[in-house]
Amino acid sequence: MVKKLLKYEFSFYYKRMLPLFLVVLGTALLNRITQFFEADTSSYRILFGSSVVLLVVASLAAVIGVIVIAVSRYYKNMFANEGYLTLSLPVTSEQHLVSKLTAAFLWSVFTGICVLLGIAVATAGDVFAELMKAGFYMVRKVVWPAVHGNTIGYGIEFLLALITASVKVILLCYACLSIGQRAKKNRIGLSVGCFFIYYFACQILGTVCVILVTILAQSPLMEKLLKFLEENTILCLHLGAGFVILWNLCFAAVYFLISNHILKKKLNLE
Amino acid sequence: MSEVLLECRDLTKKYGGLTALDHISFSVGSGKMIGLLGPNGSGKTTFIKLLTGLLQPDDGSILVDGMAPGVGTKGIVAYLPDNHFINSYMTVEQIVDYFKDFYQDFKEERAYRMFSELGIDKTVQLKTLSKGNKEKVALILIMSRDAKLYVLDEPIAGVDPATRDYIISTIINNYNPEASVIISTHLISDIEQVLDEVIFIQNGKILLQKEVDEIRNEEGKSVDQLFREVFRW
Repeated sequence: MVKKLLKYEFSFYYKRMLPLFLVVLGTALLNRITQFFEADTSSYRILFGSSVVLLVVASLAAVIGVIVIAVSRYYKNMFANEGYLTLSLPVTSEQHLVSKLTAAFLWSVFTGICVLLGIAVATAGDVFAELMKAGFYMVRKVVWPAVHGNTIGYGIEFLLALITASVKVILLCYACLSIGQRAKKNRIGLSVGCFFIYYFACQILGTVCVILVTILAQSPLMEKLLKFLEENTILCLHLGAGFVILWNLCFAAVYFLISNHILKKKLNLE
Repeated sequence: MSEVLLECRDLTKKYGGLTALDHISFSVGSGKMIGLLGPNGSGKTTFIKLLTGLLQPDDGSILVDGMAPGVGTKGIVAYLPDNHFINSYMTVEQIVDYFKDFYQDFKEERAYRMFSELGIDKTVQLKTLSKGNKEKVALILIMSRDAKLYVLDEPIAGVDPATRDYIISTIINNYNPEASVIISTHLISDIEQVLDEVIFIQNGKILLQKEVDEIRNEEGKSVDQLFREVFRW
Protein backbone atom coordinates (compact mmCIF):
# COMPACT_ATOMS: atom_id res chain seq x y z
CA MET A 1 0.00 0.00 0.00
CA VAL A 2 2.87 2.41 0.75
CA LYS A 3 4.02 1.94 -2.88
CA LYS A 4 0.56 2.92 -4.14
CA LEU A 5 0.40 5.91 -1.81
CA LEU A 6 3.88 6.98 -2.94
CA LYS A 7 2.79 6.77 -6.58
CA TYR A 8 0.12 9.42 -5.93
CA GLU A 9 2.37 11.53 -3.71
CA PHE A 10 5.08 11.59 -6.38
CA SER A 11 2.61 12.39 -9.12
CA PHE A 12 1.30 15.31 -7.02
CA TYR A 13 4.79 16.75 -6.43
CA TYR A 14 5.93 16.03 -9.99
CA LYS A 15 3.14 18.10 -11.54
CA ARG A 16 3.89 21.08 -9.32
CA MET A 17 7.67 20.92 -8.95
CA LEU A 18 8.65 20.07 -12.52
CA PRO A 19 7.71 23.54 -13.86
CA LEU A 20 9.71 25.14 -11.02
CA PHE A 21 12.73 22.95 -11.81
CA LEU A 22 12.48 23.89 -15.47
CA VAL A 23 12.37 27.57 -14.53
CA VAL A 24 15.49 27.19 -12.33
CA LEU A 25 17.43 25.41 -15.07
CA GLY A 26 16.09 27.80 -17.72
CA THR A 27 17.19 30.90 -15.81
CA ALA A 28 20.57 29.25 -15.15
CA LEU A 29 20.97 28.61 -18.87
CA LEU A 30 19.91 32.19 -19.63
CA ASN A 31 22.54 33.43 -17.20
CA ARG A 32 25.19 31.26 -18.84
CA ILE A 33 24.25 32.41 -22.34
CA THR A 34 24.37 36.04 -21.18
CA GLN A 35 27.98 35.51 -20.15
CA PHE A 36 28.94 34.72 -23.78
CA PHE A 37 28.20 38.34 -24.62
CA GLU A 38 30.38 39.73 -21.85
CA ALA A 39 31.24 43.37 -22.46
CA ASP A 40 32.19 46.34 -20.36
CA THR A 41 28.93 48.11 -20.99
CA SER A 42 26.12 49.12 -18.70
CA SER A 43 23.56 47.21 -20.78
CA TYR A 44 25.54 44.00 -20.32
CA ARG A 45 25.80 44.60 -16.58
CA ILE A 46 22.06 45.17 -16.36
CA LEU A 47 21.36 42.05 -18.43
CA PHE A 48 23.78 39.91 -16.44
CA GLY A 49 22.54 41.29 -13.11
CA SER A 50 18.95 40.62 -14.09
CA SER A 51 19.71 37.05 -15.10
CA VAL A 52 21.46 36.47 -11.75
CA VAL A 53 18.48 37.91 -9.88
CA LEU A 54 16.15 35.71 -11.92
CA LEU A 55 18.20 32.63 -11.06
CA VAL A 56 18.22 33.49 -7.36
CA VAL A 57 14.47 34.18 -7.35
CA ALA A 58 13.74 30.95 -9.26
CA SER A 59 15.92 28.93 -6.87
CA LEU A 60 14.23 30.50 -3.85
CA ALA A 61 10.82 29.84 -5.42
CA ALA A 62 11.73 26.17 -5.86
CA VAL A 63 12.91 25.87 -2.23
CA ILE A 64 9.88 27.70 -0.83
CA GLY A 65 7.66 25.83 -3.29
CA VAL A 66 8.65 22.39 -2.06
CA ILE A 67 8.07 23.46 1.57
CA VAL A 68 4.64 24.94 0.77
CA ILE A 69 3.65 21.89 -1.28
CA ALA A 70 4.76 19.47 1.46
CA VAL A 71 2.82 21.35 4.14
CA SER A 72 -0.32 22.03 2.09
CA ARG A 73 -0.38 18.48 0.70
CA TYR A 74 -0.37 17.02 4.21
CA TYR A 75 -3.01 19.41 5.51
CA LYS A 76 -5.41 19.27 2.55
CA ASN A 77 -5.02 15.57 1.89
CA MET A 78 -5.50 14.54 5.50
CA PHE A 79 -7.55 17.16 7.31
CA ALA A 80 -9.58 19.08 4.73
CA ASN A 81 -12.37 17.62 2.55
CA GLU A 82 -9.97 15.27 0.77
CA GLY A 83 -9.30 13.68 4.15
CA TYR A 84 -12.68 11.94 3.94
CA LEU A 85 -11.35 9.93 1.02
CA THR A 86 -7.72 9.60 2.13
CA LEU A 87 -8.63 8.41 5.59
CA SER A 88 -11.31 6.04 4.31
CA LEU A 89 -8.75 4.08 2.31
CA PRO A 90 -7.85 0.66 3.69
CA VAL A 91 -4.46 1.99 4.74
CA THR A 92 -2.98 2.49 8.21
CA SER A 93 -2.13 5.95 9.51
CA GLU A 94 1.51 4.85 9.76
CA GLN A 95 1.52 4.06 6.04
CA HIS A 96 0.02 7.47 5.26
CA LEU A 97 2.69 9.20 7.34
CA VAL A 98 5.57 7.18 5.88
CA SER A 99 4.48 7.85 2.30
CA LYS A 100 4.00 11.58 2.90
CA LEU A 101 7.31 11.86 4.74
CA THR A 102 9.22 9.94 2.04
CA ALA A 103 7.79 12.05 -0.77
CA ALA A 104 8.43 15.34 1.05
CA PHE A 105 12.00 14.34 1.93
CA LEU A 106 12.92 13.05 -1.54
CA TRP A 107 11.43 16.07 -3.31
CA SER A 108 13.37 18.36 -0.94
CA VAL A 109 16.52 16.47 -2.01
CA PHE A 110 15.57 16.78 -5.69
CA THR A 111 15.04 20.52 -5.17
CA GLY A 112 18.50 20.84 -3.60
CA ILE A 113 20.01 18.92 -6.51
CA CYS A 114 18.15 21.11 -9.01
CA VAL A 115 19.42 24.32 -7.37
CA LEU A 116 23.00 22.96 -7.37
CA LEU A 117 22.58 21.93 -10.99
CA GLY A 118 21.38 25.46 -11.74
CA ILE A 119 24.53 26.87 -10.15
CA ALA A 120 26.62 24.38 -12.14
CA VAL A 121 24.94 25.42 -15.40
CA ALA A 122 25.32 29.15 -14.65
CA THR A 123 28.97 28.74 -13.78
CA ALA A 124 29.82 26.13 -16.42
CA GLY A 125 33.24 26.64 -17.90
CA ASP A 126 36.15 28.42 -16.24
CA VAL A 127 34.19 29.58 -13.19
CA PHE A 128 32.91 26.07 -12.52
CA ALA A 129 36.40 24.63 -12.91
CA GLU A 130 37.73 27.22 -10.43
CA LEU A 131 34.95 26.42 -7.96
CA MET A 132 35.63 22.69 -8.21
CA LYS A 133 39.37 23.29 -7.81
CA ALA A 134 38.76 25.39 -4.71
CA GLY A 135 36.42 22.71 -3.34
CA PHE A 136 38.96 19.93 -3.84
CA TYR A 137 41.68 22.12 -2.34
CA MET A 138 39.53 22.69 0.75
CA VAL A 139 38.92 18.96 1.15
CA ARG A 140 42.58 18.04 0.59
CA LYS A 141 44.23 20.78 2.63
CA VAL A 142 41.70 21.64 5.31
CA VAL A 143 39.10 18.89 5.78
CA TRP A 144 41.37 15.88 5.19
CA PRO A 145 44.02 16.82 7.79
CA ALA A 146 41.34 17.90 10.28
CA VAL A 147 39.58 14.56 10.12
CA HIS A 148 42.81 12.58 9.95
CA GLY A 149 41.95 11.02 6.63
CA ASN A 150 38.59 9.66 7.79
CA THR A 151 36.65 11.75 5.28
CA ILE A 152 34.22 8.98 4.34
CA GLY A 153 33.36 8.24 7.98
CA TYR A 154 32.69 11.91 8.75
CA GLY A 155 30.94 12.31 5.41
CA ILE A 156 28.52 9.52 6.28
CA GLU A 157 27.94 10.97 9.76
CA PHE A 158 27.35 14.43 8.31
CA LEU A 159 24.96 13.03 5.72
CA LEU A 160 23.05 11.04 8.36
CA ALA A 161 22.83 14.12 10.57
CA LEU A 162 21.49 16.11 7.62
CA ILE A 163 18.96 13.43 6.65
CA THR A 164 17.70 12.95 10.20
CA ALA A 165 17.49 16.73 10.71
CA SER A 166 15.39 17.07 7.54
CA VAL A 167 13.13 14.20 8.57
CA LYS A 168 12.78 15.79 12.02
CA VAL A 169 11.72 19.15 10.55
CA ILE A 170 9.19 17.56 8.16
CA LEU A 171 7.68 15.49 10.98
CA LEU A 172 7.61 18.57 13.23
CA CYS A 173 5.54 20.37 10.58
CA TYR A 174 3.20 17.37 10.34
CA ALA A 175 2.84 17.22 14.12
CA CYS A 176 2.04 20.97 14.30
CA LEU A 177 -0.56 20.61 11.52
CA SER A 178 -2.05 17.58 13.26
CA ILE A 179 -2.32 19.47 16.55
CA GLY A 180 -3.74 22.50 14.74
CA GLN A 181 -6.57 20.50 13.15
CA ARG A 182 -7.93 19.79 16.63
CA ALA A 183 -9.13 23.40 16.80
CA LYS A 184 -12.71 24.29 15.90
CA LYS A 185 -11.64 27.45 14.08
CA ASN A 186 -8.45 28.89 12.64
CA ARG A 187 -6.67 25.56 12.38
CA ILE A 188 -3.81 26.91 10.28
CA GLY A 189 -3.28 29.67 12.87
CA LEU A 190 -3.01 27.12 15.67
CA SER A 191 -0.61 25.00 13.58
CA VAL A 192 1.65 28.00 12.93
CA GLY A 193 1.32 28.95 16.61
CA CYS A 194 2.45 25.46 17.65
CA PHE A 195 5.47 25.70 15.37
CA PHE A 196 6.57 29.07 16.76
CA ILE A 197 5.93 28.12 20.37
CA TYR A 198 8.16 25.09 19.78
CA TYR A 199 10.76 27.25 18.02
CA PHE A 200 10.88 29.80 20.84
CA ALA A 201 10.96 27.06 23.49
CA CYS A 202 14.03 25.60 21.73
CA GLN A 203 15.66 29.04 21.60
CA ILE A 204 15.05 29.61 25.32
CA LEU A 205 16.36 26.14 26.16
CA GLY A 206 19.45 26.74 24.03
CA THR A 207 20.11 30.08 25.76
CA VAL A 208 19.72 28.46 29.18
CA CYS A 209 22.26 25.79 28.16
CA VAL A 210 24.75 28.43 27.01
CA ILE A 211 24.34 30.33 30.28
CA LEU A 212 24.85 27.12 32.28
CA VAL A 213 28.00 26.25 30.33
CA THR A 214 29.34 29.78 30.88
CA ILE A 215 28.66 29.58 34.61
CA LEU A 216 30.25 26.15 34.85
CA ALA A 217 33.20 27.08 32.61
CA GLN A 218 35.54 27.62 35.55
CA SER A 219 34.42 24.56 37.50
CA PRO A 220 36.78 21.55 37.90
CA LEU A 221 34.25 19.33 36.16
CA MET A 222 34.25 21.51 33.05
CA GLU A 223 38.03 21.68 33.08
CA LYS A 224 38.18 17.89 33.15
CA LEU A 225 35.69 17.72 30.32
CA LEU A 226 37.63 20.20 28.18
CA LYS A 227 40.84 18.26 28.81
CA PHE A 228 39.13 15.05 27.78
CA LEU A 229 37.89 16.74 24.61
CA GLU A 230 41.38 17.94 23.82
CA GLU A 231 42.91 14.51 24.28
CA ASN A 232 40.18 12.60 22.46
CA THR A 233 39.11 14.97 19.69
CA ILE A 234 38.39 12.26 17.11
CA LEU A 235 36.33 10.15 19.51
CA CYS A 236 34.43 13.22 20.71
CA LEU A 237 33.65 14.32 17.14
CA HIS A 238 32.22 10.88 16.37
CA LEU A 239 30.32 10.85 19.66
CA GLY A 240 29.01 14.35 18.92
CA ALA A 241 27.81 13.34 15.46
CA GLY A 242 26.23 10.20 16.88
CA PHE A 243 24.52 12.27 19.56
CA VAL A 244 23.11 14.71 16.98
CA ILE A 245 21.80 11.82 14.85
CA LEU A 246 20.25 10.13 17.87
CA TRP A 247 18.79 13.45 19.09
CA ASN A 248 17.19 14.05 15.68
CA LEU A 249 15.83 10.51 15.54
CA CYS A 250 14.33 10.72 19.04
CA PHE A 251 12.53 13.97 18.25
CA ALA A 252 11.45 12.67 14.84
CA ALA A 253 9.98 9.59 16.56
CA VAL A 254 8.09 11.78 19.06
CA TYR A 255 6.64 13.95 16.25
CA PHE A 256 5.69 10.83 14.28
CA LEU A 257 3.91 9.39 17.33
CA ILE A 258 2.04 12.66 17.94
CA SER A 259 0.77 12.81 14.35
CA ASN A 260 -0.04 9.11 14.31
CA HIS A 261 -1.98 9.33 17.57
CA ILE A 262 -4.02 12.27 16.31
CA LEU A 263 -4.73 10.53 12.97
CA LYS A 264 -5.84 7.40 14.79
CA LYS A 265 -7.68 8.74 17.79
CA LYS A 266 -8.24 12.49 17.60
CA LEU A 267 -9.36 13.27 14.08
CA ASN A 268 -11.51 16.33 13.67
CA LEU A 269 -12.26 16.58 9.95
CA GLU A 270 -13.79 19.78 8.61
CA MET B 1 -33.48 -11.42 10.48
CA SER B 2 -30.52 -11.76 8.16
CA GLU B 3 -26.93 -12.08 9.33
CA VAL B 4 -25.82 -9.13 11.49
CA LEU B 5 -23.57 -6.80 9.50
CA LEU B 6 -23.42 -3.82 11.78
CA GLU B 7 -23.75 -3.80 15.52
CA CYS B 8 -23.59 -0.88 17.98
CA ARG B 9 -23.58 -1.30 21.70
CA ASP B 10 -23.92 1.68 24.04
CA LEU B 11 -22.19 3.84 21.45
CA THR B 12 -21.45 7.26 22.85
CA LYS B 13 -19.70 10.28 21.41
CA LYS B 14 -19.24 13.63 23.08
CA TYR B 15 -17.86 16.89 21.74
CA GLY B 16 -16.77 18.74 24.86
CA GLY B 17 -19.97 19.14 26.88
CA LEU B 18 -22.25 18.19 24.00
CA THR B 19 -23.35 14.57 23.72
CA ALA B 20 -23.71 13.85 20.01
CA LEU B 21 -24.54 10.16 20.46
CA ASP B 22 -25.95 8.94 23.73
CA HIS B 23 -25.52 5.21 24.41
CA ILE B 24 -27.15 4.03 21.21
CA SER B 25 -27.53 0.31 20.56
CA PHE B 26 -28.88 -1.35 17.46
CA SER B 27 -27.95 -3.84 14.80
CA VAL B 28 -28.41 -4.01 11.06
CA GLY B 29 -28.61 -7.12 8.92
CA SER B 30 -27.21 -7.66 5.46
CA GLY B 31 -29.15 -7.25 2.21
CA LYS B 32 -31.12 -4.25 3.42
CA MET B 33 -31.66 -0.67 2.45
CA ILE B 34 -31.78 1.35 5.66
CA GLY B 35 -32.75 4.97 6.10
CA LEU B 36 -30.95 6.78 8.91
CA LEU B 37 -33.40 9.57 9.40
CA GLY B 38 -33.31 12.57 11.64
CA PRO B 39 -33.28 16.36 11.62
CA ASN B 40 -30.10 18.37 11.25
CA GLY B 41 -27.78 17.96 14.24
CA SER B 42 -29.42 14.73 15.37
CA GLY B 43 -26.17 12.73 15.26
CA LYS B 44 -26.41 11.06 11.84
CA THR B 45 -23.05 12.26 10.54
CA THR B 46 -21.34 11.59 13.87
CA PHE B 47 -22.62 8.02 13.75
CA ILE B 48 -21.38 7.62 10.18
CA LYS B 49 -17.96 9.01 11.09
CA LEU B 50 -17.72 6.50 13.93
CA LEU B 51 -18.77 3.72 11.58
CA THR B 52 -16.14 4.69 9.01
CA GLY B 53 -13.37 5.09 11.59
CA LEU B 54 -13.05 8.86 11.15
CA LEU B 55 -14.01 9.36 14.78
CA GLN B 56 -13.41 7.26 17.86
CA PRO B 57 -16.22 6.56 20.35
CA ASP B 58 -15.96 7.82 23.93
CA ASP B 59 -17.84 4.78 25.11
CA GLY B 60 -19.40 1.61 23.76
CA SER B 61 -18.50 -0.25 20.62
CA ILE B 62 -19.33 -0.53 16.97
CA LEU B 63 -18.65 -3.62 14.87
CA VAL B 64 -18.85 -3.99 11.10
CA ASP B 65 -18.88 -7.60 9.99
CA GLY B 66 -17.47 -8.45 13.42
CA MET B 67 -14.59 -5.97 13.17
CA ALA B 68 -14.01 -2.65 14.91
CA PRO B 69 -13.64 0.20 12.38
CA GLY B 70 -10.13 0.13 10.92
CA VAL B 71 -8.20 -0.98 7.88
CA GLY B 72 -10.24 -4.21 7.68
CA THR B 73 -13.63 -2.48 7.65
CA LYS B 74 -12.48 0.26 5.27
CA GLY B 75 -11.97 -2.43 2.67
CA ILE B 76 -15.61 -3.52 2.89
CA VAL B 77 -17.39 -0.22 3.61
CA ALA B 78 -18.06 2.15 0.71
CA TYR B 79 -18.53 5.62 2.15
CA LEU B 80 -19.97 8.66 0.42
CA PRO B 81 -19.41 11.76 2.60
CA ASP B 82 -21.69 14.78 2.42
CA ASN B 83 -19.02 17.02 0.86
CA HIS B 84 -16.76 17.19 -2.18
CA PHE B 85 -14.09 14.80 -1.01
CA ILE B 86 -12.25 14.33 -4.29
CA ASN B 87 -9.32 16.50 -5.38
CA SER B 88 -10.98 18.58 -8.08
CA TYR B 89 -7.74 18.82 -10.10
CA MET B 90 -7.94 15.09 -10.82
CA THR B 91 -9.52 13.88 -14.04
CA VAL B 92 -12.31 11.31 -13.99
CA GLU B 93 -9.85 8.74 -15.33
CA GLN B 94 -7.31 9.51 -12.59
CA ILE B 95 -9.84 9.18 -9.81
CA VAL B 96 -11.05 5.87 -11.28
CA ASP B 97 -7.42 4.64 -11.25
CA TYR B 98 -7.13 5.83 -7.66
CA PHE B 99 -10.17 3.81 -6.57
CA LYS B 100 -8.96 0.81 -8.60
CA ASP B 101 -5.57 0.96 -6.91
CA PHE B 102 -6.86 1.06 -3.36
CA TYR B 103 -10.13 -0.88 -3.38
CA GLN B 104 -9.97 -4.50 -4.46
CA ASP B 105 -13.75 -4.58 -4.88
CA PHE B 106 -13.82 -1.64 -7.31
CA LYS B 107 -15.35 -2.45 -10.72
CA GLU B 108 -13.80 -0.17 -13.30
CA GLU B 109 -16.08 -1.27 -16.17
CA ARG B 110 -19.17 -0.50 -14.10
CA ALA B 111 -17.88 3.00 -13.36
CA TYR B 112 -17.03 3.74 -17.00
CA ARG B 113 -20.38 2.37 -18.16
CA MET B 114 -22.18 4.79 -15.86
CA PHE B 115 -19.94 7.71 -16.87
CA SER B 116 -20.61 6.95 -20.49
CA GLU B 117 -24.39 6.78 -19.86
CA LEU B 118 -24.15 10.22 -18.33
CA GLY B 119 -21.97 11.52 -21.12
CA ILE B 120 -19.14 12.38 -18.75
CA ASP B 121 -15.81 12.49 -20.56
CA LYS B 122 -13.15 10.56 -18.63
CA THR B 123 -10.46 13.08 -19.54
CA VAL B 124 -12.14 16.09 -17.90
CA GLN B 125 -11.00 17.49 -14.59
CA LEU B 126 -13.60 17.31 -11.85
CA LYS B 127 -13.38 21.07 -11.28
CA THR B 128 -14.89 21.66 -14.73
CA LEU B 129 -18.03 19.66 -13.89
CA SER B 130 -21.25 21.13 -12.51
CA LYS B 131 -22.16 20.54 -8.86
CA GLY B 132 -24.73 17.92 -9.87
CA ASN B 133 -22.26 16.06 -12.06
CA LYS B 134 -19.62 16.13 -9.32
CA GLU B 135 -22.15 14.53 -6.98
CA LYS B 136 -22.92 11.93 -9.64
CA VAL B 137 -19.25 11.13 -10.21
CA ALA B 138 -18.72 10.67 -6.48
CA LEU B 139 -21.76 8.41 -6.20
CA ILE B 140 -20.76 6.37 -9.25
CA LEU B 141 -17.33 5.76 -7.74
CA ILE B 142 -18.84 4.57 -4.48
CA MET B 143 -21.51 2.43 -6.14
CA SER B 144 -18.90 0.84 -8.44
CA ARG B 145 -17.53 -1.01 -5.46
CA ASP B 146 -18.81 -4.44 -4.49
CA ALA B 147 -18.80 -3.45 -0.83
CA LYS B 148 -20.54 -5.24 2.02
CA LEU B 149 -21.87 -1.99 3.43
CA TYR B 150 -22.58 1.26 1.60
CA VAL B 151 -22.82 4.35 3.76
CA LEU B 152 -24.25 7.37 2.00
CA ASP B 153 -24.34 10.60 3.96
CA GLU B 154 -26.98 12.99 2.60
CA PRO B 155 -26.57 11.78 -1.01
CA ILE B 156 -29.58 13.73 -2.29
CA ALA B 157 -29.22 16.97 -0.35
CA GLY B 158 -28.68 20.11 -2.38
CA VAL B 159 -29.26 18.65 -5.84
CA ASP B 160 -32.06 19.23 -8.32
CA PRO B 161 -34.97 16.73 -8.55
CA ALA B 162 -33.66 15.18 -11.80
CA THR B 163 -30.24 14.54 -10.23
CA ARG B 164 -32.00 13.22 -7.15
CA ASP B 165 -33.84 10.66 -9.29
CA TYR B 166 -30.60 9.69 -11.00
CA ILE B 167 -28.85 9.22 -7.65
CA ILE B 168 -31.65 7.06 -6.27
CA SER B 169 -31.83 4.88 -9.37
CA THR B 170 -28.02 4.52 -9.37
CA ILE B 171 -28.13 3.31 -5.78
CA ILE B 172 -30.92 0.82 -6.46
CA ASN B 173 -29.44 -0.56 -9.66
CA ASN B 174 -25.84 -0.87 -8.63
CA TYR B 175 -25.48 -1.97 -5.06
CA ASN B 176 -24.31 -5.44 -4.27
CA PRO B 177 -27.59 -7.31 -3.39
CA GLU B 178 -25.93 -9.12 -0.50
CA ALA B 179 -24.80 -5.83 0.96
CA SER B 180 -26.66 -3.29 3.04
CA VAL B 181 -27.04 0.38 2.27
CA ILE B 182 -27.35 3.01 4.97
CA ILE B 183 -28.70 6.27 3.62
CA SER B 184 -28.63 9.24 5.94
CA THR B 185 -31.05 11.98 5.00
CA HIS B 186 -33.84 14.25 6.10
CA LEU B 187 -35.45 14.21 2.61
CA ILE B 188 -37.57 11.17 3.34
CA SER B 189 -40.27 11.34 0.69
CA ASP B 190 -37.67 11.01 -2.06
CA ILE B 191 -36.13 7.81 -0.81
CA GLU B 192 -39.00 6.24 1.08
CA GLN B 193 -39.96 3.88 -1.76
CA VAL B 194 -36.52 2.22 -1.77
CA LEU B 195 -36.11 1.67 1.96
CA ASP B 196 -36.57 -1.66 3.76
CA GLU B 197 -35.98 -0.33 7.23
CA VAL B 198 -35.72 3.04 8.98
CA ILE B 199 -33.89 4.28 12.04
CA PHE B 200 -35.10 7.55 13.54
CA ILE B 201 -32.46 9.46 15.43
CA GLN B 202 -32.81 12.62 17.50
CA ASN B 203 -30.50 14.35 19.95
CA GLY B 204 -28.10 11.43 19.70
CA LYS B 205 -30.70 8.82 20.67
CA ILE B 206 -32.43 6.17 18.62
CA LEU B 207 -36.16 6.86 18.73
CA LEU B 208 -37.29 4.04 16.51
CA GLN B 209 -35.99 1.19 14.35
CA LYS B 210 -38.63 -0.50 12.21
CA GLU B 211 -39.27 -2.21 8.90
CA VAL B 212 -40.95 0.15 6.44
CA ASP B 213 -43.70 -2.42 5.76
CA GLU B 214 -44.41 -2.60 9.47
CA ILE B 215 -44.87 1.16 9.63
CA ARG B 216 -47.21 1.08 6.66
CA ASN B 217 -49.23 -1.91 7.90
CA GLU B 218 -49.35 -1.25 11.64
CA GLU B 219 -49.43 2.54 11.74
CA GLY B 220 -51.17 3.01 8.40
CA LYS B 221 -48.76 5.81 7.56
CA SER B 222 -45.93 6.48 5.21
CA VAL B 223 -42.45 6.90 6.67
CA ASP B 224 -42.60 10.58 5.75
CA GLN B 225 -45.86 11.03 7.69
CA LEU B 226 -44.50 9.20 10.69
CA PHE B 227 -41.29 11.23 10.57
CA ARG B 228 -43.25 14.48 10.53
CA GLU B 229 -45.27 13.29 13.52
CA VAL B 230 -42.27 12.16 15.53
CA PHE B 231 -40.18 15.22 14.81
CA ARG B 232 -42.97 17.78 15.06
CA TRP B 233 -41.91 20.97 16.88
